[in-house]
Amino acid sequence: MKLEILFPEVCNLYGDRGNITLLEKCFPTHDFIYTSLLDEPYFVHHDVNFIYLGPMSDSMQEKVIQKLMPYQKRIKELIEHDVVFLFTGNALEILGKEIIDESGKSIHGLNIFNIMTKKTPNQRYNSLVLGSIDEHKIVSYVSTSSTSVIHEPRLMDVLKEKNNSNEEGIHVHNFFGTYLLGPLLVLNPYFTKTFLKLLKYYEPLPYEKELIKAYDLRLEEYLRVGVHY
Amino acid sequence: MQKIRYYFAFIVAKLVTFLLRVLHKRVPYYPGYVALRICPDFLTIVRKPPVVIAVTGTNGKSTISALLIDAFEELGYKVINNHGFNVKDGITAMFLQDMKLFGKRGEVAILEVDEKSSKDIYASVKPNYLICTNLFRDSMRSNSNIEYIAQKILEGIPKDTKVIMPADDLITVSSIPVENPIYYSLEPLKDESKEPYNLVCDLIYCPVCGSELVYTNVHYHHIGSSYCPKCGFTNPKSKYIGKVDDKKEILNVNGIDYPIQSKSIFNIYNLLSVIVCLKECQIPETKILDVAKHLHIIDSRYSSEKVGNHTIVNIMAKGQNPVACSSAFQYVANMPGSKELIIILDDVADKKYSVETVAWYYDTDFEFLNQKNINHFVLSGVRAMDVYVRLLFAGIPKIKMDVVEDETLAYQKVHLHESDNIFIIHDIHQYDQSLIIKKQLKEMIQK
Repeated sequence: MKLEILFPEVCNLYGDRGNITLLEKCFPTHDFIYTSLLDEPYFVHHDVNFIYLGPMSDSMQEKVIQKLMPYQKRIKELIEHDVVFLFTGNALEILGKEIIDESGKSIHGLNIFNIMTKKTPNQRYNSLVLGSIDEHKIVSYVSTSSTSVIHEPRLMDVLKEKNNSNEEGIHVHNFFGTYLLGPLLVLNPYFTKTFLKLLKYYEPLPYEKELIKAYDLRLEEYLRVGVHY
Repeated sequence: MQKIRYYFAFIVAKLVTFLLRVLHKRVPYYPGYVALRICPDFLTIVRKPPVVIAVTGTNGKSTISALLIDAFEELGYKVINNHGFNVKDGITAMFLQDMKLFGKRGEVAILEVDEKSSKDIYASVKPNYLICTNLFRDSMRSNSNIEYIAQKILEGIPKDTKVIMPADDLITVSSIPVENPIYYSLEPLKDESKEPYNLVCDLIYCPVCGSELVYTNVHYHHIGSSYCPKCGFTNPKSKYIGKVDDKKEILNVNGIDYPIQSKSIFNIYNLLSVIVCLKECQIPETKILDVAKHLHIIDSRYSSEKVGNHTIVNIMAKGQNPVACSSAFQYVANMPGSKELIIILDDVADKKYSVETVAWYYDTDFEFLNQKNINHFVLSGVRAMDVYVRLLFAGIPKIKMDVVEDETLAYQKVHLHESDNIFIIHDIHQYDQSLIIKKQLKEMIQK
């Protein structure tokens, strides 16, 4: 099993390294490859089973796009070959067509998915999000300073969110791209168990009982309160 | 016309102040809100004291502001401040309140300024000095990321304002490139790491050329000394250099010794920035020394009391802030002796109306608490279960922890017999609850 974590030293905003922490408790250490921004990604010349990219600053997005652009075809190939991807927060945006900043300047993305993003740095959007992915209820948050128009198969049906959206994220082959923060895998143990089956992990989650108890408490609260936080 | 609006706003806001007092409503920023709605230029027009010192940055604003208030009052100045209401309404209310018919008007204003409000406030108030404490990742719902916040601060700084900042914080140094800043720095402390050791470090690569930085000393997170081997970018030279003598509990600044009130690295930097500010304000050295002896960290941030054979320590760890909490945890972990920890980190307002995010837990070094001499944890508050999960991930065994959602019952689970030192680590909004727990513990110990 090879799990590649891309640029963890800089793509680590909003506590999403918690997703990696959980994965590290599930798989042996030697299965992990941590690729820094200065290294060539492992996936370029090797087979991998999983690739993760977390949220990053706006200036880092430009650098990550520049970094990954030469490997656009390879990334597309890996997606089509059902390699499992998890891109969280604004990581998803780099795979889109274009990111437009507030001055109108446009940055070309990797153009793998049909996503158009507009930066809104002075209008931060925060919301609790309650949704469902297949049979699983998902409890999460979003915190973004951008808006995206996405024309791809969606990941999640939204049940409760501030802007009344209906859908969230992208799910294509085994590519999971989502703005959801939490960390997603820590806050949603039932979803995580299903997700990890894609990586042939069938064991109980680490501290599964406790993760489920925390999830149950949170789900009850989400059903009760408003969407602001 | 503008003057007429100003005077009208002044009268109405003063009436509002009077009404709030009569009704016993504690909403100190509200008169400022009213004044600005009637006269948007109110803050520009209202009288300012001769000296205005602003404090901004991610961490330390409130503590530094409080220390400066104490210092200038001790020096005999009439001081006004905005009591932590750090956006435009609160600052307007402060100046409004200072405009009185009787009594001495303010000679020094200490403004705690929210980073995002910088442009708005400095358009109307030109501080003589601005202390930028540091820049870190903060609450994701308000402060997005560091670049965004740095831009907000930089946009607002008036040309003639003297900016005081730590040379050890290369994010602040590189993100806020003002002319002729006044730098201060802290020499390496005993046994400090040569490399970043926290879960997150917000400065890995050179902000100039993108090469990997080489650290030579780290106080915490990215605060310390580093250089770029490719382009030579490094910490600027400091006008003021602090040296800590741990045994004597002294902070030496440019050859003069000042007593340290709290040994946490945060508070050492807070004290250093206050001393630097006083020196820059041309306060005579003998007077700074006198004042430094009486400075103390406000009780809501830190207090320690010996009760029988136990010591009860209340430490504020600002919620939603991974760096502040990591620092608090590290401070507790480094204290000698056997320890019991009570942790209540949730935001009281979120408990009532929402479900606060716990994402920041995973940027916070809970791993510091995985120590042999921390014998037991009581986790309390509505997010206790999430803290429990996080501590499990940090390697703390289940047997060492009890979860009690109801904070009023947390004291019952404390293992008094196991530890001499009891730490109550609480969010800023849980200060009152932490005092209740302390009182309950004292009664238990004294029985």
